[in-house]
Amino acid sequence: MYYEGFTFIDESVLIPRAMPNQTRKDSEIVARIHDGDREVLIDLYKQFEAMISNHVFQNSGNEEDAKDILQDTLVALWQNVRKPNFELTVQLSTYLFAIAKNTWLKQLDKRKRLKGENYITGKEIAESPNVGQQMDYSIVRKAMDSLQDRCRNILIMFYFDGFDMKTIAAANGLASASVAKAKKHQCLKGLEGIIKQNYSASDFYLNVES
Amino acid sequence: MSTMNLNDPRIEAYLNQEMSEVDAQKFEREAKANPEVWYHIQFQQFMIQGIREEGAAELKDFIANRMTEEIEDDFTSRNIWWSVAVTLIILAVGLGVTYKFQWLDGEAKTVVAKNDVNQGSEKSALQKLESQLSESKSQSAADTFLMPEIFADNEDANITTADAPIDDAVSRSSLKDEKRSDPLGNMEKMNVAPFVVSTIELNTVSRSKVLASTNNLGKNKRKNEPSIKGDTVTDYLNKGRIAQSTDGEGIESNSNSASTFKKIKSEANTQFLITLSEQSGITKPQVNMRGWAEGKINLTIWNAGSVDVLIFHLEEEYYIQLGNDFYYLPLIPFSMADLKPVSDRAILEKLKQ
Repeated sequence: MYYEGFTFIDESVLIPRAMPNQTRKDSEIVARIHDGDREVLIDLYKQFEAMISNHVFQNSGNEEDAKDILQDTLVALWQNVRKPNFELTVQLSTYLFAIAKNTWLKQLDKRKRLKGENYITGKEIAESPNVGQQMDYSIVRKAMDSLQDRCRNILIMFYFDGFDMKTIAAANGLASASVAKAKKHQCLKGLEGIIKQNYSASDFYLNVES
Repeated sequence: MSTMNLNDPRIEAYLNQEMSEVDAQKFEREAKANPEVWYHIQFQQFMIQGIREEGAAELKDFIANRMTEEIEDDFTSRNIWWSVAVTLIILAVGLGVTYKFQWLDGEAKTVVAKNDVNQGSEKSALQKLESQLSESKSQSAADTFLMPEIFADNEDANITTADAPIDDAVSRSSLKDEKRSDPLGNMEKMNVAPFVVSTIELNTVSRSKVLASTNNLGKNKRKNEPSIKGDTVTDYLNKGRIAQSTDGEGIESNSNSASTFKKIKSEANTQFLITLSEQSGITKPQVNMRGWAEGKINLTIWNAGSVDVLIFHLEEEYYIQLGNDFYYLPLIPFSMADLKPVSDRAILEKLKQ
């Protein structure tokens, strides 16, 4: 895949040279993410900041872009690792760099589209997971601010972090997993009520299919 | 017509992605057949995606905030170290300045102290020179008189100390400053004002005569006396020579005051430690006998001016010559007395001889 104005760097060359010394074993990092230890992301940030920033700088990015890509990469890593069937089959640095590269590519694509400079083929557009999803999720985020903190935490822990109900119950002072599940259902209903009360269907979708 | 309703438990499984791909596709087809259910499912997906975005934004905020804290902590710790370093530097500079001022203060005190004519260092210097003089004396044929040791160290106070032995019926000691030097090399070490009487000259006449004078603020009022041959203290020390009259006559030739000569000879060890000092606004010469110091009579002659100082011992009396004037030299311990001019013509004649 080649984009004009974008130098595709062979990561097999770049990564070994730019990869910092690993301070933790990959399995330990994955385990910490599974345990919900967010501090591991800070360690990874420090560890891979130079490598990922360098990649962004070399591909038309600036310092702010590098920071955004680093954060997005770590968030994506967090979400992926926390999926039930996640299995790390390559080195964590390789995996992380691949996420960063893809994230930066998407960002570049988005910018080019906004500028009307679409250098991507139609097939590539179709393959892009973001294409066609033009829903205004900021409505949901605004509505979540109206939720109780516990509800907000439960929903994020369940849908974003992917924690099981037992963990959510323990983290939120609930008696059991079933209580947490009922509470989650109740919170989601509450969020739905807030949204429907404050917004119409036309607000939900930026591009509603008829 | 789909029989699916909003309470179908498969909706939850579908939304939570707990179905297999095949089951999910089958469920989608069934759900889309019921617009109400499909709208419900889409709305649920919309909320879930919004929750995920909120969760992602929250996690990004967490990372950003934590990294900011890390940077601030790093900056703070670096600042602390810099602060410590700067504080230490300031302390070191402060201590250095304080030490310097103390040193200067001490130096000033030292100078003031050195201006005191009774400084022990001067005495020790005199002792040292004296011992060397004694050694030289023992090696000399003309061992009947001693050279004076002269040190002075204050330009302003116009101070000279002279060690004048009495070794003749008419013994004279004089101070002269035609040259300046540091006979013992001590003056610089002591940070003393560099006033040193350097020249000691011997009279060619039969009487032993040692001349020295103060250096009064750089003015050298003395004129050379052709009858006097010079010998510097430095040479004296370095060469180990004894001061003697250069014509070789020595004391014995001074036969015109034999009686006194004998008497003085018996007092060969009598020495004077003379300090010349000036008082502003007072011109009358005065003498202060400050006692004895290490076997020497310790005198301070006030307001003598920048003139020759000669001491005579004649008929059991001591006299002092300041320039061309002769005075009685009262030796009253621990007293201050005006120097009275010698009025006895006979004595004056003898002194002038």
